[in-house]
Amino acid sequence: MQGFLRVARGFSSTLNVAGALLLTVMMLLTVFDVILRYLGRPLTGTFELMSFAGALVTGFALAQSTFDGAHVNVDLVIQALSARKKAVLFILNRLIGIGIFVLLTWALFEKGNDLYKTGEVSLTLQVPYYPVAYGLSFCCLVECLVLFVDILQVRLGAEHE
Amino acid sequence: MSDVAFGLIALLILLALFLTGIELAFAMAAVGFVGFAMLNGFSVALSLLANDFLDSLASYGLTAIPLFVLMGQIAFNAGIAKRLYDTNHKFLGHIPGGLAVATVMGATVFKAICGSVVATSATFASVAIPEMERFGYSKKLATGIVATVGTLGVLLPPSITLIVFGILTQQSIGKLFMAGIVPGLIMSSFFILVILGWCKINPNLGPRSSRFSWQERWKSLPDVAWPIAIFLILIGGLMNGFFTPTEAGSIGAFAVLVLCMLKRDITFKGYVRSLREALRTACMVLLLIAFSAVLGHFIAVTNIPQAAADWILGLPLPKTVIIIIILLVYLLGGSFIDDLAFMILATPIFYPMILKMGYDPLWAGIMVACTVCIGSVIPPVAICVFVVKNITKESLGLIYRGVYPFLISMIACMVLLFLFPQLVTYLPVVLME
Repeated sequence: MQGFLRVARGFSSTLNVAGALLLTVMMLLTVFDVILRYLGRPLTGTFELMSFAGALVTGFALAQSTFDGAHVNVDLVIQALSARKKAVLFILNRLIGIGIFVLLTWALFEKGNDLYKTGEVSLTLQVPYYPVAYGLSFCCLVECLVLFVDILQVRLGAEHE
Repeated sequence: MSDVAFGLIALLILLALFLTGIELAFAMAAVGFVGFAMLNGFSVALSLLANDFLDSLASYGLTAIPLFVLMGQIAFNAGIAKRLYDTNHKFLGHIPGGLAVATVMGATVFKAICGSVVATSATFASVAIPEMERFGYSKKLATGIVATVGTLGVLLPPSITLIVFGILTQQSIGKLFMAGIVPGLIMSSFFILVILGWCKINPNLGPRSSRFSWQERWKSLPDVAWPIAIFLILIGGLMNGFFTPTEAGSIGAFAVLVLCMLKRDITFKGYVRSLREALRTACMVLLLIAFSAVLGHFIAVTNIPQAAADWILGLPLPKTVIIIIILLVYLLGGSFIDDLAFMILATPIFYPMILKMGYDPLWAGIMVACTVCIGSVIPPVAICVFVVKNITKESLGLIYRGVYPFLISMIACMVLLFLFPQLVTYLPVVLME
């Protein structure tokens, strides 16, 4: 259990740091582009790079956001339930989440394979698309791990009680 | 079973899932995926899931969200709000209710660089409430105004709500920003009128605080001037097409960061904290958008938006009544679910109807944003009130007694915008066309 937790935390925080760095790069890249544009020398392909980076920033932040409980939910009704019922619902919800992210991991990996095989690249910089799909697929896999650890933590909590 | 009936059952299941405490984004993806798979097959649904996720997250327009959130978080962590509040305190503190007015003015300027409703409420709860208490202000007035004032960020640019609405409805974010300025300032003025009127009726609510010399007042003005200057550069740049919303977000975040570093208002740790918060908030919003795209495609296949539009527009009701009903649905839905999440969920269904009835898309955006403003302070899910409660540890009952007069003024503002849509459309028309 502790091993799973450590791995999940390690991956989440590492990805989050990567997301933070990338967000800073996005900010600086755009600022330089705007400045250079008014000097008559715009950076080519900023639009494409920003789109790719934007996707990866969200993907990188995904697992840590789930760890931190950042995603919106409605807890009005469940507040009135007993701890046991709450735990059952929580586990069911986590299983739904795992289901979605397992599917996404698989579908994005397949998408990455397709993009790799067809050699699809961006219009201006000719940057291949497939690393973004593979990157997001990996982020979804880490998200599955985080959701799984959540279930383990609930079970562990129940055992302690 | 018809596709519409199937879609409606799926939406009921979605609402039931919401009540189980599941993350709203996960529920949208699950219902959208399963529904689409049942109608079109598993492999098509799987491909839709991957494409919607990838295309939504890799959309250039959406990159504006993390950057504007970052700008707000840097401003939040640098303690800019405190300086803005202090300046307004020096100018207005000596009049009855002046510190509450200073809160509104400080928050209005702070909104020019921070689009987060929660960050504004949290900041002013820590900065303004202790100061108001020190000068003997009623807790009801102090907590009430702080809980309400954060909502201004939904209307005043750079509002995250308006960016999301613009992306969902494919409208110009610059025009939506322009459209939000007058309503935001009207709402801000209404708050000030409520404070002054309330303190006139009961002077004990907001006694006069100390008076500052003009020298002290002038000295504090630069603290207000530079956030306004950044705001004007961003809005001016967007308005004149000098840069895109994403570029505006980047320039704004960079300018706020550099200025805060020069003034030694932010440390490296503060910047890291800003990044972490920006990633959390942006990820939450973007995941909602990405997964609502999956749900939206499923709903589109079931033909619900068309059927709902035909049904509602076929009702023997004037279009004014229909639009009021739609806005009430936003208000009620947003009160039970998160307001932004409900807007993301409901807009693809209602927006085509609003357009069919001939309403101005900008006006529609601002009216929906007004429902989000009001939804942020009305129970059961009143995020701004909860933030103030958590920080001040006051009872919800007391905070609400302070919120009600401001809530009435928000409704009055919405009625005014309803009766005079030009208040919304005038500025974008004059400045951008």
